[in-house]
Formats: sequence, C-alpha cells, structure tokens
Amino acid sequence: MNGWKELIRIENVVKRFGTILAADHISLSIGEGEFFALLGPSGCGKTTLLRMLAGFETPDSGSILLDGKDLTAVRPWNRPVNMMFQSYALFPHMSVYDNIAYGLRQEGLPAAEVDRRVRNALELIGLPELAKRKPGNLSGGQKQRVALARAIVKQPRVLLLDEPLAALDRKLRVEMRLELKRLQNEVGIAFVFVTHDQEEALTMADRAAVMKDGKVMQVGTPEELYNAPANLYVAQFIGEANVFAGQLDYIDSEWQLECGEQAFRVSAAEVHRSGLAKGAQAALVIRPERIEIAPTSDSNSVNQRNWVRGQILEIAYLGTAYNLVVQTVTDRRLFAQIQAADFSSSTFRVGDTIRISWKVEQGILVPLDKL
Amino acid sequence: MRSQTWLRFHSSLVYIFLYAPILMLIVLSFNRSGLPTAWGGFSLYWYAELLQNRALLNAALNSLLVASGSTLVSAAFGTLLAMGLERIARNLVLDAFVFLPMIIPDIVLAIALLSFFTFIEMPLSLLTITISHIVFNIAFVAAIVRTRLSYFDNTLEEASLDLGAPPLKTFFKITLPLILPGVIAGSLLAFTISLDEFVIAFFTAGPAQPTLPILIYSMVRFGVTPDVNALATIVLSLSALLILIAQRFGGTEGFF
Repeated sequence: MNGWKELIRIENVVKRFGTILAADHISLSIGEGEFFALLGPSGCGKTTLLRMLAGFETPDSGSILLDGKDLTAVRPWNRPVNMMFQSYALFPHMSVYDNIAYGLRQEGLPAAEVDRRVRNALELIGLPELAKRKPGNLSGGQKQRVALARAIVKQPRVLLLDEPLAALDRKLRVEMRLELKRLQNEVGIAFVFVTHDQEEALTMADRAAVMKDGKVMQVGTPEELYNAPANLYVAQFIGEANVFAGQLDYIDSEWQLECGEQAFRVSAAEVHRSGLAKGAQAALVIRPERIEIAPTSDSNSVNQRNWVRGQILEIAYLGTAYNLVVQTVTDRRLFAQIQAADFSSSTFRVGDTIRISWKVEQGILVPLDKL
Repeated sequence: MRSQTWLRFHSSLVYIFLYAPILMLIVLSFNRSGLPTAWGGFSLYWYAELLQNRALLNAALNSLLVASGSTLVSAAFGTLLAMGLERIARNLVLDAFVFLPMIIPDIVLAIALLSFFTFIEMPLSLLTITISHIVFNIAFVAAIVRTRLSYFDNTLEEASLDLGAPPLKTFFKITLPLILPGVIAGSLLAFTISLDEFVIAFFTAGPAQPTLPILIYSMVRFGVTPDVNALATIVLSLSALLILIAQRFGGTEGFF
C-alpha cells in the first residue's frame, strides 16, 4: 500500500471475561486513513477489541498505541476516537441537530463553529432537511446516517463502527457499503469496523483481520485473504471452499498431496508460500469458480490439471452462473461454479457423470489446522 | 352481551361504593348549614372559615413540609438506589429488602422507627416524621424509577462518554432526562403518600407540631368542625391531581 503510515498499534493485548478469553495476545497495526475490518463469527472477540479501542474495556495486559502514544489509561471521553454503535444509540430526547452537535459542544467550541460543522455534517450525509426531527421519526437508514454524522463531526483520528450495516435491510445494506466507502474517502479518517459478514468485509475494507476465539488468524487485503489464506480457517471463512486434506509429498520432482483415494499435484509456488515441508499434514483448497467441468468422454488433455470424476447431484441457475453440487466416487461433495457462457444445460444434467478439473496452480495449499 | 351488562352493573356498584362517601364529603363542604343532615344551600362559607382556622392551616403547612422534604430526599436517593439495583446489584435478596418498607404494615414500621428514635435519643419533631417517611418513600421512588430504567438503553451513556462527556455530565445530559418521567412519577406518588400518612406520623410526631391527618384525627374525637370538609376536599383534589400527573409520566412511552 502506497504511503501507508501506522496509526494504531495493538500490542499483545489480552482480555479475559471470567473463563472466556476474548482477546488472546492480539497484535495488529492499522494505518492512517485505512478502512480496516475486524471479521469473524460472533463471540470471536472482534467487538471486545473495538470496545478496547474506544476505551469501554481495558486490556488485562498489552497496550494500544495511537500515534505512538499509549491509550490504555486514557478514558473514553478523552480519546480522539469515536464510535458508531450497532443500535446507533441516538439520544431520543434530542433533535438530529442536537445529536450531531452534542460532541462538539463537549469540546466547548463557539456556537457559530458548532453550527457550521453540524450543517456541514448534515450536508455530508445528505439530510440537511431533517435537522429538527427527533430520532424516533427517522427511518433505519436515516438513523444510520445521523449516527455516522454524529461520530464523524468530531473529526476523530479513528472512527469505530460496530456492525454498521447489520440493522438495515439487504438492499439498503448493499447501497450503504458504497456510501460508507465514499464517506471514508471524503473525510479521510481511518475506519475500523466490526462485521461477521465476509462479503461486507471484502467489499469495503482495504485490509481485514480475520478473528477466531480471541485470536487473529490472518491480516491482509481482501485479495490476500481470498487467494492466499494462511490457514484452513481463513480459507473456509472467506468464500466457498472445496477442501482435500492429506499429507504433502515430493515424488518425481513434483509436489503432491496424498488424500487416501487420490493424489493431487500441488504447485511449488504454493508449497513455498505455505512454508510446508514434505510429510506435513496439509489441505488443498479449490474455489468453486476455479473448477472446470467436462463430459467423461472429453478427450482433451488434462495435463497441468488435477481432476476427479463425479456425478452431478444438483444444478442451480444464478443468472450469471450455474452452481453445481457434484458427488465424487469416494462420496465427497464438491461445489463448482460455472459461468453461464461456459455451461450447456443440454450437455450436463443431474445424474450425469462428469470430469471435474482445476489447474494445478489454482489449488491453494494451507496447513491443516490443529483442532 | 348479557355478561357485559352484568359486568357494567357490577363495576358501577364498585365505583359507587368507593366514591359515594367521598362525593358526599365534597358536597358537604359546600353546604352552608354545616350539618350532614340538612342542606342549607351552596356556599363557600366553610372555605372562608378554614382560612381563619390557625391550627388547621398550621397542620396543613406541617404536612406540606414533611411531604416536600421527604419527597426531595427520596427522589434523589431512590433514583440512585434504582440505578444501583438495576446495574450493579442484580440480587434478589437485596431487591426484596429494598421494597420491603412498601409492604411492611405501617404499624410495625411506626413502632420500629419510634424505638429507633428513642434509642438514639432523637427528640420527636417534624424532622423525625420526615425521616420516617423517607424510609418508605425511597422504596416507592426506587420501584418506579427502576421500571423506567429497565427500558433504558445503556449504549446511550456509552455514546455520550464516547462523544466527550464525562460520567457526571453524561448522567445529567442523557440519563436523567430520559428517566425523568419515572423520577417525577415516583416523586408525585411519594408526595401524595406522605401528605396523608397517619400511622407512622402519629408515632413519630412531636407534641407541638401535628401533621394534618393527626390534627383531624384529634378533632374527630371532640367533634369535627365543617371546615375540615373544605380542607379534606382541597387535599383530595390535590392528591387526585398529583396521581393523575404521576400516571401521565409513569407510562413507558414517556413525554417525548
């Protein structure tokens, strides 16, 4: 990333609630102006981490630095950090205007300055006409924008967003993704948002940390997480994955994964990337859209490809593509996504036996997680 | 249909049973003759007479002082207590002990308080009545504020802290305005109860400063003058008004 400059540094942060380890030695860096996602299933500790950034929770050990200064002992009301709450937490007894002005008034700014900035913020979210409304009379989308304006107007160093889109209906959610991205570009503040929705994280974030059980499993750009996952958990959490588990072997100057029923070739680049050695337990991950299908009668060369034979169980039409569920001879279910242009519904029918293949270099090799 | 008619008939009877004596009192307060048995025409005579009755007016003032004092203290401490119970304690036993003064028979509480004041050698006065009334009024305020608090979204406070308002400021700007309907409802109820409370006041009152219920009780034994009817009507109207306002504020909708 060009001109990346560290803004937040989380160092070895540990937080325990009773017997639950909500943050297990977390270390990460977030850059200035970065759109950063904390991604994981519920209970993975992502919200706890966000609340520690806001100051609502204190780490048991470790430190959180902002601009190189330790924030750990700074109380929430003194942090140059603002948060947008999942429930929006708009003050019901104040108008939209007063809600947005609230934070500025705490800074003791002159009324004219408060007014100018509140009006700017209302412009920014495109709702200048709603200034006098009470939050109870706003739609979900409007509340969300007001909550955003209220947090942004203080021009914090970092804006924290807790599941910012979770309370919206699906159509609005997709719209707001772009809207949030646009706003973030416009204000240039670093956004750290928590989500359980991998699609949301991939479409909005510059980088994301995938979390599980209080640990960070991997930090990377969406492309890195999708194409070069560090472990099986990330591979399966981000996108769909067909997984073959087995033992890595090196035979006839070629890397292979022995999966019992069959051995698949693995590219040397993937072996190198994964850092695995001969004899390691590993998993080969194939994304459904990397799979090609052909009739078994097809005589084209399958050089440079891995292939298996299987029977079509299901075909689902998605408009731009077809989703297939294929059962292999060894009773394994594979998912394939074939572009509509490459699929002929007269050639492939449910019950047909077909050949499934993928290019060797498109198999992703990851260590087999210890469970 | 038939059962509805019966229900209507039944509830009418109940209302008559409840309110006929009170209605009679109000009517009598406007009766020029002053006798419960003879109508002497509509008049405000007894209200004028009331203004001349120093003892009654003094007692009324005493009652107002006790009610106001105990209400103010109870409102503050009852609210804090409700917040503590709702957010920190969450303990069934503690809960029960807080609300016990609401259900303990007045006479038991009265004897306990009297023994207590005697034990600490505190002379009985308006102050001892006020303290005694605070004992049960705190419970009433706490109970009502708590229902309001259970609807309170705690993230509102976090949002305020996050926007730069320290805890005390957050309490006065966010929490208090939002639970204020509950505080007002609880206070009005406390005020009303304190205003006409007899048993506990009777036990903890000093000899020279009776509250209104105590004075009226002592007058009854020597024969009531009709201006008591006028006073009772005024107190009744005031109580009814306060209860109505309390109900208005007590709703979960609030007044926003």
